Amino acid sequence: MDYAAAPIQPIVQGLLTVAIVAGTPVPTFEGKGVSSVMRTVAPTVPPDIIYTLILDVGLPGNAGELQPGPLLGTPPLPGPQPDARTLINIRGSAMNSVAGGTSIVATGVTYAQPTPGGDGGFTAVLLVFTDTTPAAVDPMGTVASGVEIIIWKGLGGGAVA
Amino acid sequence: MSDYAAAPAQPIVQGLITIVTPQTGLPFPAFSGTGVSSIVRTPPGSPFSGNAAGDYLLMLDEGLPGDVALDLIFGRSFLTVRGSFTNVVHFGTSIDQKSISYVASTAPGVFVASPVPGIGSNVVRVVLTASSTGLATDPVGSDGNGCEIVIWRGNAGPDSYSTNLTGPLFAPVMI
Repeated sequence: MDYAAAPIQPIVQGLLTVAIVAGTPVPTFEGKGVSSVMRTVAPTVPPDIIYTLILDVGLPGNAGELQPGPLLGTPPLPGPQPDARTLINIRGSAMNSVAGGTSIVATGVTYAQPTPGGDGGFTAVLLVFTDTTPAAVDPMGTVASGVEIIIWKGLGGGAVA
Repeated sequence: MSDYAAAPAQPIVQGLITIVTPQTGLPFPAFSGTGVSSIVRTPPGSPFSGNAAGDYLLMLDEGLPGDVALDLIFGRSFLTVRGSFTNVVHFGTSIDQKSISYVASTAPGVFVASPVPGIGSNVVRVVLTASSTGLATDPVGSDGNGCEIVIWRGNAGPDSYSTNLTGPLFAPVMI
């Protein structure tokens, strides 16, 4: 049989860490493809903790933007972002109840448009880390020691069912 | 000085699994990307005892250049669930267990639970589970917003070479 292979070309690869600065958790991203990172807390129950990575606009070929997907349905609405592939790995904490482990059991990844919207492309990536409660948590302290992130555009192909 | 190796990762599958909810009929899985020719819910009964949701068989695409059908031990993969705003944790997901199995199909609609000699694994089974319910769960609605999947063939080099590493660290046993 005959199968295909295509290379991976990350547009983002780096490490997200969180440190307490003046009593407040402050995120830092070290790596490539991200121009800024924000931590947002919404007063919901349970409270949301959302990490927003703004993709770098300075990359060659406008590589730091995820183009919007096709419009689907009636009325037409934006379909899911078709090309983004994101790999998240949690770094363990020596202070976790399981030494070297992590309390994060699920990670949600969402591609979004910053406000104001720009040209319609997705240039922001939202990350939410959840424990067994379930509640949103920060990847720091006893919970974890940061998060490794790789994002690339897996172009090509089409829909099958 | 130690000598470390790096090898490129060349995915044979990369894409997005979503759940399509038609106006009539049952929701069904769909795949958008490369390397998969079709996707179905894993059927109940032998050989897989498929779950009612969150359980899929992805048929690897045949007829593309490269001939990198998977040998079981060379499969490398990851699954990432996209978050849902309607999740109890906004933009989070309820799916916290993700697994992959390399199986095979010997004829259209005929599946076996392990790779077939001479064919390898031409079908991949994906199961997504929410431990809060203990049930396999579709990444749709409040539980998620699709699932990204990437599979590549690891161990670039001669297929016959293998190393069985056992502890302690830096003291591998070569066989």
